[in-house]
Order: sequence, then structure tokens, then C-alpha cells
Amino acid sequence: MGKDLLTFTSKGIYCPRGDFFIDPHKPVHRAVVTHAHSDHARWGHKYYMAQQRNRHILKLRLGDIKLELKGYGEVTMINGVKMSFHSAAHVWGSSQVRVEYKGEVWVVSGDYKLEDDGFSGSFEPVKCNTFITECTFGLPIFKWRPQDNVYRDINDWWRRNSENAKTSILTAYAFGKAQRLIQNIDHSIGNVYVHKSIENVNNALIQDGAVLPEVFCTDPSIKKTDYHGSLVITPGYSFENTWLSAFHPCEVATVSGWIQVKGIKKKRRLGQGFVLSDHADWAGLNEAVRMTGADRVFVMHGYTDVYARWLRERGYRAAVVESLRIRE
Amino acid sequence: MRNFSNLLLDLENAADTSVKIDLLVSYFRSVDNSDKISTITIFTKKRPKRQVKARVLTEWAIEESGIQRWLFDECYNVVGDFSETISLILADHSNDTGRSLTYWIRYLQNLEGKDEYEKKLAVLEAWRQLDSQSILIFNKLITGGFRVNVTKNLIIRALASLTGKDQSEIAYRLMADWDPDSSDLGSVFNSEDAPENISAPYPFCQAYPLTGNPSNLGKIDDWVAEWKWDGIRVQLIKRKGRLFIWSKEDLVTDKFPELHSLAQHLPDGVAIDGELLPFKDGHPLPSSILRNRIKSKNVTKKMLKEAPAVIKAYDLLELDHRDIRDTGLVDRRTKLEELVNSILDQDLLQYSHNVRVRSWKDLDSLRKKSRTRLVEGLVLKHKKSAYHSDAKRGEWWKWNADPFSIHVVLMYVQIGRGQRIHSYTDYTFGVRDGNDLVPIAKVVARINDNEIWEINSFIEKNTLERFGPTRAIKPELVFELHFRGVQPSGRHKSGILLLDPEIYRWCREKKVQEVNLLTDLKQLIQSNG
Repeated sequence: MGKDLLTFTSKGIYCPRGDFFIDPHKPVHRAVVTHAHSDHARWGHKYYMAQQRNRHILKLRLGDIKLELKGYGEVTMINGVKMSFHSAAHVWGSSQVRVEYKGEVWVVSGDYKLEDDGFSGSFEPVKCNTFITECTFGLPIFKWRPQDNVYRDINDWWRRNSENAKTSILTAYAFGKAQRLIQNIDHSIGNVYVHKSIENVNNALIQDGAVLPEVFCTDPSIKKTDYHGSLVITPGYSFENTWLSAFHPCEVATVSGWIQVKGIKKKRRLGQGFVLSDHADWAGLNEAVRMTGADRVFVMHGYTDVYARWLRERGYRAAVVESLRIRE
Repeated sequence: MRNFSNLLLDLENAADTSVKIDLLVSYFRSVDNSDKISTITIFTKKRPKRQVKARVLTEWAIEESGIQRWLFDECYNVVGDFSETISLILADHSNDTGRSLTYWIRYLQNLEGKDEYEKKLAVLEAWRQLDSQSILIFNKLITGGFRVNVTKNLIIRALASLTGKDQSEIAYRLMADWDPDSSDLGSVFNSEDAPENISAPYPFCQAYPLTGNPSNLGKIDDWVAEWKWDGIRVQLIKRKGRLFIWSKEDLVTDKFPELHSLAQHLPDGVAIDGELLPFKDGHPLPSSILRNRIKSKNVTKKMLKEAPAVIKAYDLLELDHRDIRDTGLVDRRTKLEELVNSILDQDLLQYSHNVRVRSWKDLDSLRKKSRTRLVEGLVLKHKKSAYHSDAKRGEWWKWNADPFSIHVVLMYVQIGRGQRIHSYTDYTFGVRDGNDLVPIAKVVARINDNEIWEINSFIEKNTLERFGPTRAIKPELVFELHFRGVQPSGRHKSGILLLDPEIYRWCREKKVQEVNLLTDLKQLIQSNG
């Protein structure tokens, strides 16, 4: 392990030679962050480094941090190790992290998808010797339909509700899925409203250079009837509180990859929904691994044991990150 | 098939009945007659026969998809359903060929009698022509595992709304012995052109559970009280010289040869509502015996000897080929009694006598002793009541004996089946026996999702041991169980068997020291002989 360029510690992925962490989950001195989702960009590190598009979104999420920004493909030397960000197409500004020392290259995928959603950039395959990949949806039961088909279904659903003077409510992550929807749905059907938390993310992303179609923010002063026929995007709601009652009559649907499997849908109480994910599906994972040309693959997040075994059976040297973590 | 699979998806998500009915009505409007019939056929449980076992289907899917067995198994562990796993693995999102539900049902029927290789080729061909949702339905149909959360009553209401006919008429037509292959919607629903169906029963009139005090019903003199026999509700019909016995689900005439001689004694054109009971030496036996008989393929001499069936007659629906359901109850019961008395085999067909008392209070004390008579309780029927299709509030009430109740502690849990594979919903409860705990009942939890959620998080934190899918957990959660009865049992560690146990409530305030003792249950057996 000692001579590996990246190692797995209880604080996260660590580069001993460069003395920095990638997406660490406990406070460290120097953190390289792949994207601004809270399970990757955590609070409490001394110095942060991220891709250029993340300035305001990271500030929104983490407050005032010591942050250094780099463009896609821009090489930074950290204690003699070459580090660079490459588009991961997961959300706005999401990156894979490439690390090189003496000709040996490792890539940390962060979260990614291969499909270009028109907002989050297009995935850049990066050649490497060792690839550390997520595998959230690492089972062959996860196969995404082409996204245009899903948008069409969502538009049809919205149009139908609109014709019945109902409000359509979509629950989706505030950062990522929400913008992807705003970008791709048919705004000619009606007004699009977003929950305040999504509005905040949108404003941060616009300051970071994003361009988004115009949307309205929900507000208690808006009359119920004004929402009828509209689409409301919200990160979630609670049945106990009265938030939802402001939109009656309404139809609620969730946008998530987990909707694919009935049992999971039920367990997570997702109800009606549309299958759309910002993560790679089974074919996407395999394609990404193939394109890196790596012969060694570490997998993390999701169905790791299964995916690692699958890769091993196909000739890769593959292992699960979590099982390799060094206890300190 | 696309319409049908969309309908099922929408029904899955629909919260209330009126939405479900709207969905069904607009679905029926959007498909042609043959698909209407196919849909009704599937929903009213006249499903196509199983052509291929799930295990065999899985082998073919593994071969077709090119993935390994272990990977399929991993997927199954996540999905929890073979048909769905296969549909997800094979989905390629290319366009469905758009063939109708009826087409695919005929396709399946054509597999009858084919050898396995021919079946395989046909199934692979079908999979290539269907999208993921439709593959799921196809797989469910071919393996005979199709279950859908649509009650017959819902279908009846939707069809009544669609055709503008009475629900009772639709119900009557649906119960009949119609052939999905030879009839179209017209002949099922238009009495004019319907081929005469001599076996058709009437929809069963149901009693509402009585909650609260019966004195709210008014004078006892306006009511008839009958014992609620613990058997299988049936209609006994004789038309054109032939005898038919219908349970609420199915025609079961063949399973009860001991009753066939009634055909010679009953006049033609009668329909009697009653209860099928195993009856020996003047006493009823547990009704499960007859349920098992209905399930078994052949009726053996042993079955007939050990638990012969009789019918306790409650009501008369048809006399001299005339539907008399609208005449008052007292009139119908009088005619019924005359009819029963006039035939010779009165042992096979017995009139279920009125329970005569002067006051509600007296009736209540009889009800409380129901169990000693091996009946479930009482049914109260208004003297003027008609025999309604289904249930009508206010005219028939069932007043059951109180269930037994005990406090038990949760000892073992197991992952649920099918859709419940993701949470622990099979619970084994125990009672105290000295310083130990003894398991006495395993129950599938029918409590609300929030409680299951909470209990599952308790399980995560309090697991003592694991054996495969089962976990032993810290005995801390106390529940109140209700059950219908208790029997001695040699097959159970506790030595007893609870009948129809169900969770009544989760008693958060109670501690494990407060659960019942095994001896409490043993005493119950003695006192209820």
C-alpha cells in the first residue's frame, strides 16, 4: 500500500506524496473537492480546492471557506504531484480528479453520468492506470431510458394535470436534479415555480456562470389558484406540515433513479415518479471503466461488492474501497 | 399491452377509490372489446393457467441476457421478485411492438401442450417484442403469479359507471360461469343477448360489523338474530335439474359429492344462501378442514368420512325460478323453512334457526358464550330487509364474539416477501414461561408504515443474533395480539396453536414483565374445551 499514489483512510481518499485528501468526510488540512453535494464537500477543512464553477455554490453550502479554484484540465502541482479536474457531468461544476506522479495516473471519478443533460457539461473520459469509481447503481437492473423519453413523460404528466386545473409537484434534489429539470422541461405548458432552497442554489449557480430558463419562487402570498396548471419543483416536503396544502388540488411525483425498482420505491416511500438519475447506470459504469483504459479499479458507494466481483471476472484487478480503509 | 401496463402503474400509485375507478373507466373506454374482456378476466381471477415455472423462466432470462447466475441472484435480492428482476435485466427500451393484451393472452394460451423447447422460443420472442413494464406483466401471467390490488367490487363499480347499469346486475353477470374466449362484453353485460347461464349465483349480501351498542338499532322485535356459523358461505342453486354450489370465489360443486343427492330433493329454480360446515355427530368441526378440501385436487373417501359437509340455510333468494330477493326477510325465511322441511335429506340441508330472546341484554349474554357453540357470533337482520347485492349499511349487522386478547413480546423478525422484501414485517411473538420466553405466534404485520419504519430501526439497533433472513432481537417491544381461538398442538414448541392471530396494537407503555404467561393460554384451552 505504501507506494500507492492514493490510499484509503478513515478520513477519505488520501495522496501521501501530495499530502491532500479527495472528498474527505472528516476535517483535514487540504481537501480537493469533486462537487458541491454535501456528502462530498464537507464542512471543517482548512483549505479547499475545487473546479472554477463551484465558488458561490460552495459558499452557499459551506459559508466562508479558504477556497482555491481551478479550470477543467488546468494542472496544479501539489508537493510534486500533478492534480487536475475533468468534467464528470453529474451536476454543475462536478469533476473527476486526475492525479499523476512519475507517469503513473490515478483518477477519482466522484459522482458521474455519461449522458449530457445540457446543463452539467459532458463527461470527459480520462486515461489512467487506476480508476476509483462510484457504483451507486452498479447492478444490471439499472438501465436508464434515453433522457428525452423521460422529459416527454414528465411533460405529458404536467400537461394532463394542467388540463385538470391541478398543480404538478416534482420532488428532486435542490442541487443537480432541479436544474436539470428546469433546463429540459417544456416551459410552454405553464409557469415553473421552485422552492426557496432551489432558488438559492440557482442564484449561486448563475453567479458561477450558469444560464438557466426563468422560473418563479414559491411564496406564501401567492394564491392557491395561481398555482393551478403550474409545475412546482421542491427538494421534498413533509406530509405533516401544511406546505403541500398550499397547492391543492395537486399531483406529486418524485424524480429519481430508485423509482426503477418497485420494492425500493416502496421502502423509500417515493410513490409515483419518473426514473431519471444523475448517476451512471450499469452500462454507463462499464463504459466509463472501459474508456479509462485502467487495469486496476477501486469501487465505492452502492453495490460495491457485486460490481467489484463483476469487474474481477472480466479481468480487472478490482476491490472495494470501504474494505481497504486503513484504520487509524 | 402498453395501455394495460400503464393502468397497473397508475393503479399502484392511486391513493383512493374514486381515482382508481376513474382510471379503470378511462382505461375501459380506451381499449377495444376483446381487451375489455381480457382485463376483466384477469381482474376477476379467471387468470390464464401457468405455462412455465418461475425457476425455468429465470434460466431462460439468464441465458438471454448473458449475465451470470450469481449476478442475477444479487439483482433478485435487491428487487425481491423474479418477474420484475427479469423484466429489468432484459429491458432494452427499444419500442414495444404495440400488440394488445388479448394478443399476448392468446399467445400464452397457445403454449398449452407445447414442449419446453417450443415454449422457450416463444417466450424469448415475446421478450424481444415487449418493453420492460410489459415484460413484467407477461412474466406474471406466464408463471401464474399475477396479483393485483384491484377488488372485484372496484371492477363492478367501474363497469357500472361505464355501462350505466346497476352494480348488482354487473355483479351477477361477473359471477356467472362465462367463457372469456367465446363472449364479448356485449353478451356479458346485455341480458338481452346473454346466453342463458343456468349456474349464475347472486352477489352475496354482506353484513356490516356492529360497533357499539345494539340497542341503537331500535326494538329487538324488528330484528331477526341468527348464529353466525364458522364455515364457508355458499349459495346452493338448482336449475334445469342440476345442482350448483358457489362459494364467494368459485364454483365448488365437485368438491362436495356428499351433497349431490340434494339435486333429487330440491325443486327446480331455487337459490339458497347458507353456510357450508364440516359437521359430525351433531357438532360443527373447524372450517379449515373444508377450506383444505377445496384446495386439494381430489376429494378422498377419508375426507368424506372424517368431516362430512352440511349446509346451514340462511336465506332464500330464488323460488320457482323467480328472484324473490326484494321480498322481506321474514317472508323469505318462512318460505325457506317450509322448503327445508319439505325435503327428506334434512341432515344435509338444515334450517339455521332464529335465536329467540326478549332483550338486547339477553342476546349479548348469548353472544358472549358463542364460542362454546363453536359459532363466530351473531348476525342481526332487519325483518323487512331485502337481500342486497354486497353490503348495505343498516340492515344486516354481524355481531362477533369478542376476540381473545393477550400481551406478547417481539422475539424474532424476518424480512417480508415480495414487495415487503425490504423491511422486517414477519414477526414472531412470545409469552413468558417461568423465566424464559416461548414463541407462540408468527404474524405478518398489518400495521401502518410508520410503525413498521420505527420497529425496523429498533431492529437495526437491537439485533442479538442472525440466522439467515431471521434475526433474534432484544425482547422489549410489547404488543397486544387478538386471536379467534386456541388449540393444543404437538407440532409447536409451546404446545399450543393460536387461530388467526393478528396485531391489535403496539403497547409502547408496557414492559416485557407485563406480557402474558403460557399457562394463561393453556387455561383458555381448558375453559373453552
